[in-house]
Amino acid sequence: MDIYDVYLGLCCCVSLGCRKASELLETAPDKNGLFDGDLKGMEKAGIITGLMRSEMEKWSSEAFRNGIKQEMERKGIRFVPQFEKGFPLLLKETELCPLGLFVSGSLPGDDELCIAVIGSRGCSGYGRSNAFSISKELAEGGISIVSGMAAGIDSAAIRGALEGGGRAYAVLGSGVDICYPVENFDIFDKLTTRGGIISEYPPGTEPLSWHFPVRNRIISGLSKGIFVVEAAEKSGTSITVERGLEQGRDIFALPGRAGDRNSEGTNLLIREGARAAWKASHIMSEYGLDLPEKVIKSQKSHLDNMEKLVYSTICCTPETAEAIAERTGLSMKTLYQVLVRLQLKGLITEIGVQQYVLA
Amino acid sequence: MFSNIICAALCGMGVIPVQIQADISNGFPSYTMVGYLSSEVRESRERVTAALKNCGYRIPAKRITVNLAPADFRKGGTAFDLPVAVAILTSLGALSKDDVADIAIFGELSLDGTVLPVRGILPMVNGLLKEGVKRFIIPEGNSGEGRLIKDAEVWCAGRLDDVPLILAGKKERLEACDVSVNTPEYEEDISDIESQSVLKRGLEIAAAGRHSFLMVGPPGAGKTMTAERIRSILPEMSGQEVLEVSEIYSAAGLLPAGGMITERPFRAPEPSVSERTVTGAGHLPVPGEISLAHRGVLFMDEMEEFRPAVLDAVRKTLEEKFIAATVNRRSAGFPCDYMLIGAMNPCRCGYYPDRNKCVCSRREIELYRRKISGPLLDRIDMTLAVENVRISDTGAKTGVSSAELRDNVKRAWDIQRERGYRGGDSNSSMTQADIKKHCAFTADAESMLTLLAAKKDLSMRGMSRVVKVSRTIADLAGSSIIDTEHVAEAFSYRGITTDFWRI
Repeated sequence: MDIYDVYLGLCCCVSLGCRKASELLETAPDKNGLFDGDLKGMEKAGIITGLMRSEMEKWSSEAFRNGIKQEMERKGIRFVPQFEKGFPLLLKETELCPLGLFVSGSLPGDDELCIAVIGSRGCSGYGRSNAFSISKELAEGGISIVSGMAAGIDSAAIRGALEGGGRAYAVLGSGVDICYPVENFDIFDKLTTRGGIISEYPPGTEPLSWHFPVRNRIISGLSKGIFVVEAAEKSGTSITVERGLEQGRDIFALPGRAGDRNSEGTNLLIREGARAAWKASHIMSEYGLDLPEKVIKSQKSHLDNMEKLVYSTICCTPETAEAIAERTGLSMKTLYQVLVRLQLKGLITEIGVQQYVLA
Repeated sequence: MFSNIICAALCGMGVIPVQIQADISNGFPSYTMVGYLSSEVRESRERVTAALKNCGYRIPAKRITVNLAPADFRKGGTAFDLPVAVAILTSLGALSKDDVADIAIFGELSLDGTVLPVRGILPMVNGLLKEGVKRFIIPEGNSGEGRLIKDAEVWCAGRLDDVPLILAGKKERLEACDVSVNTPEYEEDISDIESQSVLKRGLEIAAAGRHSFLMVGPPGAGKTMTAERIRSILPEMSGQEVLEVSEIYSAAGLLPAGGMITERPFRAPEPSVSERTVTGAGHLPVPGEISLAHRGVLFMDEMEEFRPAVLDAVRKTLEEKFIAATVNRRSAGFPCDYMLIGAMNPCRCGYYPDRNKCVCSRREIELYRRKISGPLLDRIDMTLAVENVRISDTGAKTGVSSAELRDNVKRAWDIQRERGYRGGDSNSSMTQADIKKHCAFTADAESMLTLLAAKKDLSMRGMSRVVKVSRTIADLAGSSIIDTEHVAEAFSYRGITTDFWRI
């Protein structure tokens, strides 16, 4: 069996897990013959379990291997083993690096600067719009965004990066042919051409709950820095940050209002020494990059005085029409018209019932 | 000897004349009742014999047969007791056949011969009037509704003994009275609500176009208090409407002693009600909650908790304004032209989009919203945000009073009625043809609508919702043409869209 097949096999036998697979590979006297060795003996010696053995035995059949490879080809999925050129160097240096990655689309290049943008699923409007706009600006500045594809911050970040014309990579806790959660099917399609969908799990793997914390090490491993947008005090985000710190990554956090549940975690990170960042430039300057000349500013100068007045009172926390009217002193009649115009210009959006936030 | 008495049965809100025939002949003594009777009618045999005996009549040991025609229609209710007794008396020769030939008789008998009130007098009498019957005997207890009957001779019977007196012309006829239409005094007034000018404006618009609306807000925000006050800004019912509603309440046996419903109904069924209670359809239909809310308000608090079948019935009747049923292959529907007010929380915990309090996941929020089907949401014209409604403890009034709003609403109603919509007489019931004919836009408003439709993903139905509400807003402003300000305001009430509950 050639070495590519061995690596692919070790990744396809999901029951092995990354740690056991690496161990087997290291201790094997003949790497190419790993699958043809005395598997029963290994089971008896307690090196592998019965489930692992049966999976490995299956893999040793050439017909089975070809079947899997054909399926991958049909779905346009590549497998990039650790030793191959093209496997991200940044990730390769980390502890417990996967033996290979399944990818639909492409992997980040070694000269590409990747920033992970992560945060909670049940985020607030504040988190979502910041994740979106900062990722968008980062993308415009040539930085690629790495994220999970979960609801909330993760998908907002990917949407922002795509909107900014940049590249984005989603690291999944399932096979790369499974779009989870389904609502994200629109970005799922775009990612294959404008970045990549990456996973250490073989195609067809279900999104099981214990996969997600494990895949977080890949998110941090692929990135130079980790930008935490919103996180409650205890969350999956903290796992990514922990892995990132072990891997020596820079940690950025979006400061939030004291007392906001969703900003507990990020504020705590800042207190512990993460860099506070609320603009793309805060992150970019860290890597000696500048923001490109802005063109979006012109959009706001199109606003008439009344629109500016209303726009200035709308922020990332939902605001009722009544509160806006009170603050601006406009009559409801005028306010409704201004709100519609601002919505048509795509600057604000309605959330809940008659509550407005920045788009 | 044979005799025949006119009576009637309700079939939905329709009336079926029932001929009560009694025959007394020689043979073994017996008393038989036929004519597809429900058990309460069959039991009338015991009540009638006891009442006759206690009023001093002796029933001879003969063969008595009572038939209720038409025999293919199932008869329920207790209104047949008195006419059966009268039919027997006539067959016995105690009453003259000619005297009872053209008089319709209704009433339940108690064993001592007292006549008890029955339900449905008003619609049954009005129905028989159309069939050409002019003289009626109704129970004393139904005298209130009896007074509402015009162009007929109506007598009240308090006891079985009164019937011979009435037939002999020895009792006074019931005086008919006019339907009184005064503005009812409601305890709740819109000015009890502190500030909340946006919400009050929303209520005014909803009332002015009879638009159904959904109130969304956190628990304890004051949704019920708000709904209770909508009635106080609706114009009083016309005489015709009072009669319509009173007929329905009469059929349901819910008419108060005065005999008239003069306040617009406000029905607030519990979320656990059955479909039967809400629609009233069944093998013996009685008006359900949606019909009892006819010309008034149906308030569904915690709307998402109602059974899907109930919500579906509401969806169907919102446009049709009629609930269909059949009894023995006869159609037996009830009118139900009501204004729907729904109330629900934005999510299970109730605090979305306040992410500091709301702990629901996106999926939970989505599932919660989906409890109300898209087609039903599509038929609800407006959505209002309700938050922190406070009723002043001191009794202090703030802002506009209900009376002022009611005047505005009334003016808007008059404008709408004059247009003569095909679908009904309010903006909410406009059909597509009505919209085309009566909704003229300024050029700016037209282009705003087109832009909104394209950019904000408004469906066809969503569009016409915005158009209908903007028509109402323009009507309130006294403007015959719809301008941008009207469209913009209507758009802000459009309610639930796809990115509505997005995270």
